[in-house]
Amino acid sequence: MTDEVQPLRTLGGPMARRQLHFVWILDISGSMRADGKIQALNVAISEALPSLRAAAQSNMSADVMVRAVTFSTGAQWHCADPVPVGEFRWQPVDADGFTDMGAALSLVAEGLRALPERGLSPVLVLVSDGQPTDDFADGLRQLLDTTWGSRAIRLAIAIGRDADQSVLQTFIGHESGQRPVLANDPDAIVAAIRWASTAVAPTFRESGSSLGVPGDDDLFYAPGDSRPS
Amino acid sequence: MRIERVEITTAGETGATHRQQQRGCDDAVGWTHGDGRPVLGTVAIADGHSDPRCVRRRVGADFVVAAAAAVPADPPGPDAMAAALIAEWRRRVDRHLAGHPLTPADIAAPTGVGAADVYAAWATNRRVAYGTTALLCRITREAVEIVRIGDGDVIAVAADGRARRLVDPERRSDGLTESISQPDAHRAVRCAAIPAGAAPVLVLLATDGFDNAYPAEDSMLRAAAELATLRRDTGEPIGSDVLGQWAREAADVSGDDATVAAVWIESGPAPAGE
Repeated sequence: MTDEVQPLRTLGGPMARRQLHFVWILDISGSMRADGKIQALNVAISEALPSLRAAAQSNMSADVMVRAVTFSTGAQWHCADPVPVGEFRWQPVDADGFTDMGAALSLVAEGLRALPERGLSPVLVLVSDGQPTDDFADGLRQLLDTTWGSRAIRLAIAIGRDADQSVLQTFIGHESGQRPVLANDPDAIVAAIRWASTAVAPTFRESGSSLGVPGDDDLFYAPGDSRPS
Repeated sequence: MRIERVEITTAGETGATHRQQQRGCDDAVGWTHGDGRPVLGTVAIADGHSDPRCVRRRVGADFVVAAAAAVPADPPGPDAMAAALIAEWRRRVDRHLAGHPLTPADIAAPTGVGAADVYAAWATNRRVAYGTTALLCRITREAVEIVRIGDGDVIAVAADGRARRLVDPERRSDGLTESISQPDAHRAVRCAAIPAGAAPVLVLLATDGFDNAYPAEDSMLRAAAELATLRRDTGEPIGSDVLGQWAREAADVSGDDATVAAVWIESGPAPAGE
């Protein structure tokens, strides 16, 4: 007779899937009203949700939690509490005000400080069409001073030609080799948002290598733009 | 005191993420028993890196296990063991490369995004294609010797039940692990030797698929201590089925491959005249 294997569910204590926090950091300043940008952003985030959920589903080692910060004059949590990706619904936003990007990063820093000690590196996606109107450097410093902020995968999407790409690159950092993704028309905004959503997939995360960034000349030129040869 | 007897039990499970992606297990484990002149047992665990550059990670992990079995007992000591392990691993990798050169076909998406990075890495160091960690434990009559390169757990449990980590790697800020495939692998080595008089009753080697399944920092220490207590209280060996159930739970939760080796050590007084 074979003895039954003793259950060891408590060996070492409870096991639990780690959380992967995905945070949209969205520019809803007044300039986003032009050229259908804010409408495109709202549509893009809604339409990217299936991609985000699919990428999250492929990551069987983590529970993906989503929330968002919007910034214009000041910054605020659009959804303050992390929501499981399967339950996340996007509430459209309007555009008005300045571009207080530093305040947004400060708010995100505050949110990251509350995360548990162990987990997967969060994914932060900054989307902007302009230049910061407040102390961006201080906000970034506060973010990078947090444990999770410094270890986060930081991505950026530059909407339109007036976006300050150097600021966005500073947000991303230079070690990863990533660049801000350029989105010059609504279709490109949708594509960029969908691409950023896949950052929660395990292939990217396990390797620690650079995320595959669609080349500018592949996706993000507006119709009629000249493409590099 | 001297070490009288060693018992080695292993188990492993493919990670849930790997199963879903129809990937095999990237961990390898193996052990040998000796006659005590001077080696009583050697066990090695390796975790192939989930990195696009490491297309032959499982082969590299298997080579760690094979190289560990080939490490000579002389000269003694973990430093010599580490040097021999690295040299033997490189010899096996280079021989494999000679017969199986790296080609674009080795990459899952040879023309896709990231392929250029992979080619660039191979141009600098072809051995990175076989990238893996290496955890090695060798027990002689005189000592328990540990060598590690990369992440994972090496935990010792003393007779009084206290568990402690051995040879912890430096925590990297970029979240990557060190690798035996590095050109400067010797700098990544962490090693230790515990004399027989202070030998633990259990040395646990585990890949990080276990630790990643726990939300608490000290869970693996607790698990190792509980295993030792279970064996002491029941008087029965801890079989591979028990470790296997643990590995399955960890692999399901962490999503990563989970492989463990338990090295049970019995010590006694040295014979008179020694």
